[in-house]
Amino acid sequence: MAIVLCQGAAQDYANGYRSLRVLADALAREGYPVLRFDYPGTGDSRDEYGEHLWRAWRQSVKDAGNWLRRTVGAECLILMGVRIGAGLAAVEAARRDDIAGLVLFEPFFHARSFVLQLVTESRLRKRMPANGNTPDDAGGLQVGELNFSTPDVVEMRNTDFTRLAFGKAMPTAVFSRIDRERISDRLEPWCRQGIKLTAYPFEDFEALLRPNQHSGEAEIDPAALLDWMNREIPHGMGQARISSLPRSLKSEHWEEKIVRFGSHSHLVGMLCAPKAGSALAVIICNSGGNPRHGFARSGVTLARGLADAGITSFRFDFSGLGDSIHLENAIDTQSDVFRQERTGDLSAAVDALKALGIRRFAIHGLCSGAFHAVQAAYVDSRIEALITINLPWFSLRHEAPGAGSSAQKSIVEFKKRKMRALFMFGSGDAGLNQFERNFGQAGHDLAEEPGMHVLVSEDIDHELTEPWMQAIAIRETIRFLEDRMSERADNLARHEVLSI
Amino acid sequence: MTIRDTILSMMQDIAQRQKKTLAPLTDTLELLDSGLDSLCIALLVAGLDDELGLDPLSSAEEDRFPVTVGDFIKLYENANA
Repeated sequence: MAIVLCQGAAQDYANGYRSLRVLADALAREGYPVLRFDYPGTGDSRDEYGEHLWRAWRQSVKDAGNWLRRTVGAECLILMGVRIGAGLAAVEAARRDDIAGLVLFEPFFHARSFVLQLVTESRLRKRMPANGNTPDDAGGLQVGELNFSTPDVVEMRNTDFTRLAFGKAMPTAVFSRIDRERISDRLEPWCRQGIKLTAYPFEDFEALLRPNQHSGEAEIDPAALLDWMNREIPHGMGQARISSLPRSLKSEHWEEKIVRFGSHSHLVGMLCAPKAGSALAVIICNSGGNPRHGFARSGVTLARGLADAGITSFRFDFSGLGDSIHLENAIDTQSDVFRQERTGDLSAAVDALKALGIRRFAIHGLCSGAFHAVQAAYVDSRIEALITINLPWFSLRHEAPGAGSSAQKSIVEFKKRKMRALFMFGSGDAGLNQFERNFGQAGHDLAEEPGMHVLVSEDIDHELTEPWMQAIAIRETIRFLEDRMSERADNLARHEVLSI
Repeated sequence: MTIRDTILSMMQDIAQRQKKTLAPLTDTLELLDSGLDSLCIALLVAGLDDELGLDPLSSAEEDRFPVTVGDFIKLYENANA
């Protein structure tokens, strides 16, 4: 027996990513092979999915189940899903005959509600200030990294999960904030088909949907889930037979490979290299509590945009975020977005890239990622270029501007090492106000400093929520790096170019 | 529970889960000043549709999206009538 975990989407994906990894680890400790995967066009998955994203997602759940059974030799599957992932799991469970159990975490009862959530959020963002130009979204639905076609939206609006026809009945657990009576009432059509339904409160799994910038809160508690599984799903899992796992993800222009590194192999990142190789690698930091993919997948878009321009990147998860582990009193714990020291993780990332043959290093961060990027660039002389977007501050302590401030000290150090730095801000960003306290209107005081660049854009918001905002940031990052690389081109030996 | 009570209860619940500080809810309070961000309001709308089957916003035109808490409640009360 093996388990497929179907993630939530959009903010549900970003918020739940780490906790779903914690759940997967807990299930694996119980002896279950577990597959978490990213739907097409999300997370680390590729973007080639044809015209219809929703249909591609449905297909991917089917493919995930088939792949897992084949890879581990499982005779049957348990499908689990969060929010819209719960709906996708249910759709797939209804059509298969090899499902031993179904688990739904805070499910939508109707895909229409998921569409409504996305549409509402998109409409409200467009009404908010400093959102730049809006695209022509007639027909389909584009929100952040998600781009549903018109047929997708029509199909989702007409998909009532409570009306699924199951080919085979299976035990089903629902963990929801809605009370048990209401769950039973809504899923009564399932029960009439022989589905044995058990409803639980959601409180043990709140972390799956908690805003990801909050640490110090309770982790998920899988006890009730495991108890249900032991009671309702026959044992006899047998020994998983794991055939060789794929090592990389390839596209026409780039290749990506997972890298585990750090003193305890506790850090996880994705190396993205252009086919022709690259002399320099850009380390991309987490922003906020988001996993390495970034808010609205900005980290992935940046990485692949860099690769298209011939530049290698390494997006990885800080310890205690995403897939990387942080232990406090031997417990896998989420780390604080700002207060957790990150220079060790970033030095380990440079070490890992050096071991892969890379010799030149730049570092890129947005918001809290920008803060940690500055800290790392200050202490690690191997970093030769820094790109920050919406840097909130140079120090967590309140400081008066001036020669003794962290801001001024950082610039002095960067100049001494002949580093280049790009500080990019949205014109309405609070970080720009802080920056200007030290360096004048739009960073004017840095204008004459060699290697220091300040860019203020009216068209980007704090998190680069829209594709065109990400495109602006990527364009300026590439331009900045290409200038840097051409400065040093004469000093490069050809054998420094990296290939994987 | 009335539609009004359901909406106010859900707003408080969402604010708590999303770690937002909710302003005192009055009919004249603008939604975007309530302390709820766009995601929170989207969760509210999706939750009302999923639990109650009410979706009056799909027929609301862009310039008639409810501005205040009172507008929002009235829209849903009318849809439920």
